[in-house]
Amino acid sequence: MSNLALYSYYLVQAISFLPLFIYLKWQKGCNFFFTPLFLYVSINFILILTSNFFEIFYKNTFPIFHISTISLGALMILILRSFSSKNKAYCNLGLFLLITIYLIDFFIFGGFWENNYISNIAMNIIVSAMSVMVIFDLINLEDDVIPNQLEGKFFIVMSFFVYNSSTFFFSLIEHKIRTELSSLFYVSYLSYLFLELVHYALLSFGIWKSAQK
Amino acid sequence: MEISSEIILVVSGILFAVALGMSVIQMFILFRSKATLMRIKFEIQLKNKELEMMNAVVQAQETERTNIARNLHDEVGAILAMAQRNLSVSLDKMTGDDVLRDDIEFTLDVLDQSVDKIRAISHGMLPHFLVKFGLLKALQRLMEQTEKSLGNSCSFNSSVSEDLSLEQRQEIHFYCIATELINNLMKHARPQFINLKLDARENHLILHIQHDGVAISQADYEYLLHHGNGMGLESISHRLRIITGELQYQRQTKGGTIEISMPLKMKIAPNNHEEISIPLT
Repeated sequence: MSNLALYSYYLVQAISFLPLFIYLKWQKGCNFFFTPLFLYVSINFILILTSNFFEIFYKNTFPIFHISTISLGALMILILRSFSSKNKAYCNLGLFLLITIYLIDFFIFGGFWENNYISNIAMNIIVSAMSVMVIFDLINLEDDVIPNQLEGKFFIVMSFFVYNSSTFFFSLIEHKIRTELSSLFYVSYLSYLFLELVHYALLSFGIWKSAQK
Repeated sequence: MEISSEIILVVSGILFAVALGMSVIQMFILFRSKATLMRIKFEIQLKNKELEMMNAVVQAQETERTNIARNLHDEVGAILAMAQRNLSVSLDKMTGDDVLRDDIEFTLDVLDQSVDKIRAISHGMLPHFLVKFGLLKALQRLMEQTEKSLGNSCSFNSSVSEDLSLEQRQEIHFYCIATELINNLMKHARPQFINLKLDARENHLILHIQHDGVAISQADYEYLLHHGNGMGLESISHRLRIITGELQYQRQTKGGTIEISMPLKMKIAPNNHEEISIPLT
């Protein structure tokens, strides 16, 4: 079971390159490298690679969690903000809340090499809520848009929702599982990895779809 | 204690998975109907835009053709007529010198042919007759010309009132389609007779062409339209799209029929009492 979990973990790491590859292959435009979407997929991939380096040399990946929470969280909110037509103000509020909670968590509850559990959970809740809001924004959209772009946006937002809601749930039970119910650890971890795989699949499909004419 | 918390965790995990799955499915269903609606709207917009562009291109072409035809007819034709008249006057004034007289007579002959040619070109570019006398008379004239070319009897019947007034653009496109179809028949079907019948049914103007030549079916038409090299069918298809008309080919045991129909957007008073039959011969 542990081997299966380990291979699944590497598989998910490898799959994390797929959205970046699809973005580089299909997305075109003058602001190619400066879009939140490109930054999100590239930073996500770089952080996953770097986490291995931290694991080997420092036996501690919390710094990666810190960078991931603030950078990827902020980028996800910026992406959602760009997709939203009516709720941009709520997205701004979400971004403000994320930064505030992260700073409080960083300075009061722990440093760079400590677990940022609170800000991570806050990010998951904020992004999940924003995702649901933007999904309904897209469903109720009245402007004329290119259908493929609309579908692409929907799948990207859906990927954020699936990833953040599952991470939120996993974060809630992770401590209990690790300390008291180790028998359930691999099952829950594999389920989590499966949902992460779904996240990358939806994200890749969304990026590919939105690049179609 | 441990078992109960394990069960609670498993149950809560399952509940979470079910809730997540259901909410994702629900959002997919909601979005799917929206996306379908958006796709249909987008396709309609795209088609309208394409039609608008095509309309603009055809309109520009028609305007250009009208200008060229008018210039040829009114200016070049007038100059040639003047030259013809001057040469005729000079010829009348001439006495003796047979060689020069022959030359002038020859030049007059050439000028005569040029005037005829220019008139034919200008009439081909802009159906003056149609513009002046309307669709009914123009179709009647077309059949007279066809009859002359075939050397056999052709007929034109109409159940549509003579005061039929269509939008000029619509009329020109309809007439051009009919002309192109008849030309095609003459070229490829080699018929002995061609009958034309103009009808107005359910707010549609319908032209029924019947012939006894080599006929093609609707499937053949579709194939030729998409795989053929000729411009004629393509031009017919473009014109049909502009007037939102339809074309139906039917192959029969001997010969076949072609039906062109076009929605009428203006008032038409169909003559229900009697069918106007215009004898051609």
